[in-house]
Amino acid sequence: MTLAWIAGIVVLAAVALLLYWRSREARSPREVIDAERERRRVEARYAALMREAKEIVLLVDRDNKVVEANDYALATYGYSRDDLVGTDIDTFRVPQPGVTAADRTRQLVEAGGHLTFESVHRRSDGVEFPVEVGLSIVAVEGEEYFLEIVRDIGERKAADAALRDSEERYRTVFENATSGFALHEVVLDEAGEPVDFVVLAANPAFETQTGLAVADLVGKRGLDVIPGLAESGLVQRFGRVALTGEAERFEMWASGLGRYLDQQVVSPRRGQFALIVLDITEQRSAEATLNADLERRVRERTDELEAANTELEAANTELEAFSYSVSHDLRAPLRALDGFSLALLEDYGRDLEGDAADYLRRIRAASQRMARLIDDLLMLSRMTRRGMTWERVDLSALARSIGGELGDDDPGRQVVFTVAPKMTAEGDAQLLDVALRNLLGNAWKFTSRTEGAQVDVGTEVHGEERVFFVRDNGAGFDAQYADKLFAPFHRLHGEDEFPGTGIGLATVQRIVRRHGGRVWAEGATGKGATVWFTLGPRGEGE
Amino acid sequence: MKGQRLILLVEDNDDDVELTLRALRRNRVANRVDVVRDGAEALEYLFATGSHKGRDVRDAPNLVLLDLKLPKVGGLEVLERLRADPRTRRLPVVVLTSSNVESDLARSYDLGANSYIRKPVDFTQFMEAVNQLGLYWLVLNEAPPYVD
Repeated sequence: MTLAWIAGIVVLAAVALLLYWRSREARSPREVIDAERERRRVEARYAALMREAKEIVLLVDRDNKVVEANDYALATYGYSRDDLVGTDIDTFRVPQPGVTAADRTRQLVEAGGHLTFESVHRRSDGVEFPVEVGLSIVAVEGEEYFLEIVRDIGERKAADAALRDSEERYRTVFENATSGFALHEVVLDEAGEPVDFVVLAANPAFETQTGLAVADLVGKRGLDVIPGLAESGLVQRFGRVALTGEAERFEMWASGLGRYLDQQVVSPRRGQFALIVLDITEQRSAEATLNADLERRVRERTDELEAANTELEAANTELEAFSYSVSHDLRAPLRALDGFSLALLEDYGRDLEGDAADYLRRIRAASQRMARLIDDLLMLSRMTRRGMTWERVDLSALARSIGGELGDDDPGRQVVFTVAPKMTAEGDAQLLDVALRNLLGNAWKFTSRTEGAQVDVGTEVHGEERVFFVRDNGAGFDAQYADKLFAPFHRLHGEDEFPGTGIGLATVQRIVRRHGGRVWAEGATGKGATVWFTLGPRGEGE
Repeated sequence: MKGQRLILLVEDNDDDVELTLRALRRNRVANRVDVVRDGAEALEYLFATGSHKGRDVRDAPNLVLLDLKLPKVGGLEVLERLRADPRTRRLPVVVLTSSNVESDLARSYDLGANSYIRKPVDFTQFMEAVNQLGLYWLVLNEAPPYVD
């Protein structure tokens, strides 16, 4: 606008100057020469103006015919000078609804000889473009002309439109957002501390989210219109955001509003803050309900578990007492049976007739067997209840040591005993000792009638699994009973053939299972037996 | 002491008393065995109170064979009381019991038992155990100095 004005004034001045010089002709020859020189200079200046000005400059007579046009006008409208001069100015004008040329003239006169308005012009190729027109009435040598300075404002229009569009979009978002949004200006005291704020704007959702009527807020002081604000400490908190620009987000119980609010505070410019608010009361109470529900269920489950635990503890204590009693009280009568049978044999052996001595010996044997059964049962029960201590166990060393003891116990036996080196596994050393002791004890026992007895302890990898084995070439067993071997009290051999209680392999199975492993056996009658076992993922050996 | 080899047997089971006495008679290690039938009586005997009031406390046994599962006062408590009293603190006590429950073993040694023997069911083994026990504690072992 300003530029157009300056250009207009310059052109006006140039035209006026030209007309003035033309009016001063016919002087002395000397003066004539000077005047001629001066005239040329002025014309050159005028020509430069007409050539270089980057606004359309038109001089139009009272009949709306163009009498002068600058180069920029020619270039913009797309005409040659000859075509343009004498053309009706309406050729370029795109008629504007509701505004006639006569209206313009009237307006121009009313405005005192100068008028600025926006319109639309058309080029020779038909393309239209928005313009700002500065229209003035000028008098040249008694004749009145219209001086039109026309500026292409296409870019400005586009920028304005873009800005309007952008504003429109933001406004739409602001108006339709479901989050409450409000802009505020902080009020500071003399020390520069925030003491209140003024609500500048708030969207409809702000009302929904806070329950505060937007109409009552805008333009008001926060402390005057927001209940509970003074006690909340929020004025200072919001003020800090507005002054430091450091955004905040927090959830709080707004007691004055009776709601839980999720508040985001950002500062769009120093001294102002925008508040984005969400009412999360329902969500909170739903969470609270959910939490309460969860807590209640946890409590119930805990109670149940505790009850079960107490029961289990009671059962365990009972079992403990039972085991203790079995261990102590059941053995005493057996000892008496055995002891007095022996006393009879010793003191009255000579008086006993027939099978009497044999019967007494049977009583003793039965007593001792029952004592062994009791011991083995207690062992089995202990293997189940005992806590486990995990550590890396050297199975090779363990097997060698047990084999050594078995050899010492029975020095008359010749057994070839081999143990694979470097077998280790994660497990409970004491439980594994009991398991290996049972397995090797069996191997020793069932090879007692075998020529060239051999017992091997080793390991193999089956697929992804580490498997250990104890193999002997002894009496073996009928393969169809292989799965019954591990049931307590189940025996595949007569007591007279190989003594035993039938609890050893049940104990081994219990121990292996406690390690997360499996145990199984292979064998054939007279062809020896192999007991395989794994120690589960955790006990995985090397 | 006076060259006497006295054993106090603390045992409530008649059969076990009879069998233990039989075993002790057979090996002739002790020349006197006194028997008490429960923990309370054991304490009265050793501290010369109650039914044993007036007994000469100086006539102390050389060895106490102590069962754990006893009426009235249990064996472990008897042991605890003996070890708490200066007069009986050094008295050799061998736990002779049916139990081989780990906690009993641990408790007995913690309370100061000198030895722990599990009574075998096989009487041949039982006699062998008593024989060795008597030999060791009454013959081989140097008795602790007498406490006034």
